[in-house]
Amino acid sequence: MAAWILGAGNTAFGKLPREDTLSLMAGATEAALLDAKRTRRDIDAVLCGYSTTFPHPMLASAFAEHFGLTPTYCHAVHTGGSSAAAMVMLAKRLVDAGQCRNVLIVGGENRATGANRGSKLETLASAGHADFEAPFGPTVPAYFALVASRYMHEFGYSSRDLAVFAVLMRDYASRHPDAHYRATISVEDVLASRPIAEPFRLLDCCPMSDGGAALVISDRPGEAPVSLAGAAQAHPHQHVIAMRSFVEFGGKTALEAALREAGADREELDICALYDSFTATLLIFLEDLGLVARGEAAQACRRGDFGRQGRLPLNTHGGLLSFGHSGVAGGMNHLIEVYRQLAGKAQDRQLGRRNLGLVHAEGGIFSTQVSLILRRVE
Amino acid sequence: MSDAASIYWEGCAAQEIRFLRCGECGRIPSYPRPFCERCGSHRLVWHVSSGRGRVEARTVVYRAPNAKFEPLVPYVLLLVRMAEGFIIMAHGELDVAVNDEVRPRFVEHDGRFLPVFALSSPPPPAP
Repeated sequence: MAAWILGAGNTAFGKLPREDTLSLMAGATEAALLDAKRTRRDIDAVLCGYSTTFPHPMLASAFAEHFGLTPTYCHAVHTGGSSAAAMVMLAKRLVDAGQCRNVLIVGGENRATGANRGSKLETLASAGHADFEAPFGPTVPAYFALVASRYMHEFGYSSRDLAVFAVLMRDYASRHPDAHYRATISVEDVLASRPIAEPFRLLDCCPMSDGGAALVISDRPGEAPVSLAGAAQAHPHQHVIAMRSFVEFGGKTALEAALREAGADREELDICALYDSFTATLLIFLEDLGLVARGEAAQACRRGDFGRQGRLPLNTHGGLLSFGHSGVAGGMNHLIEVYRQLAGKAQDRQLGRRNLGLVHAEGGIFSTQVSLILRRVE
Repeated sequence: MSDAASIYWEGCAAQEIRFLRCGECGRIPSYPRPFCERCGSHRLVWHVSSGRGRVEARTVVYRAPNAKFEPLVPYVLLLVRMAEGFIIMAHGELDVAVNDEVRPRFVEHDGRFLPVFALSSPPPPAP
């Protein structure tokens, strides 16, 4: 049995004060069902993530009831930022095993307008170790900034090298009608934005957005067949104080296992989407996954390798950095965009024909990593 | 707070960095806990670090996570690799950089004594 992406949907991202978690999940699901040409009755499994603004202990069944679904398999999955990718991996296994035929994967959260700033920062930073990290006042940007500081020291990177990725993400987002931030920016704009946690300035950090996203994974292909060809995970640690290395982050383990399952080589990839909570996250993943040599990611970005005409277009929707981040749905947009590019559904953003895509996501601080290989099949 | 965490923070109040070492295999857990994460032994023994460390990673926090840290902004957050081989999170002086050799003093904040690392030997005066 094979598993296929049958359809995808998303709401606009940004500040949507009239929306809440369930309305964003519902909006994205309506769009995904329309795209997949499926109805509520076809959905026999529901997987969802979590919402910091609606911390329901049984979010999947709460949403299924709200939307009018009566699945035979239904639960939430929590792996932080990689939750969407982990759910897609699980959906693939459920479909491969014949357990389910049409799996709905959905996330949504009003992270921008649904909670005050203080509680948001504290909730997100609470993934840190309560006894040995939290007493020092770290934030999520600070955790990633610590990792970035070591990596930049090892390979001689500067803030200017990080900024080129913020500029690239904004260029891509400027073409997407649903993106949170669409006005193009320059390296100088990034360097002039206010400091958050050195080396990160505001424009090195993804925003908090309101938004929803959904996918339908099926045992049958759609009109533009895109298969889930490979999937794998790596879980090297949870906390930065327990990281074994600040140069090797473990992502390669997941990527290589996913490629093996797909029977594909890294060199065949012609589109990718990598988790980009911060500019440095993107730079580190490009190198840790072996998509460019160590120390060469910024140079490759300036050369245009990751642009529309480049060898490996990257986060062509604008990534978390500019399309926006609303938790689980933010990470799902990477999957949705690679699917749309492979299926020829990316409208004004459509690249030439694409055949093999990578989505790599992480939760925590490079803690819980998921690689997915998507293939366009004739 | 776990017993291991209480002993660690009591150490900081007594101006020392304490760490556990496995009495069976010799491993130092990545942070204190009541068993060895490698061999599973519960025979762990507390030791006191020499206090010598090297900065593994550094950031300066400009936007605090909550009101308790807002008065400290901007503050230096470090990961320090102690001479014995384990890594701790700590605060640092503003002039401390990645790879610097450092030593801690202990500063009270919100009911705990936080290790704050400074350069072991001040840099030579500019010529």
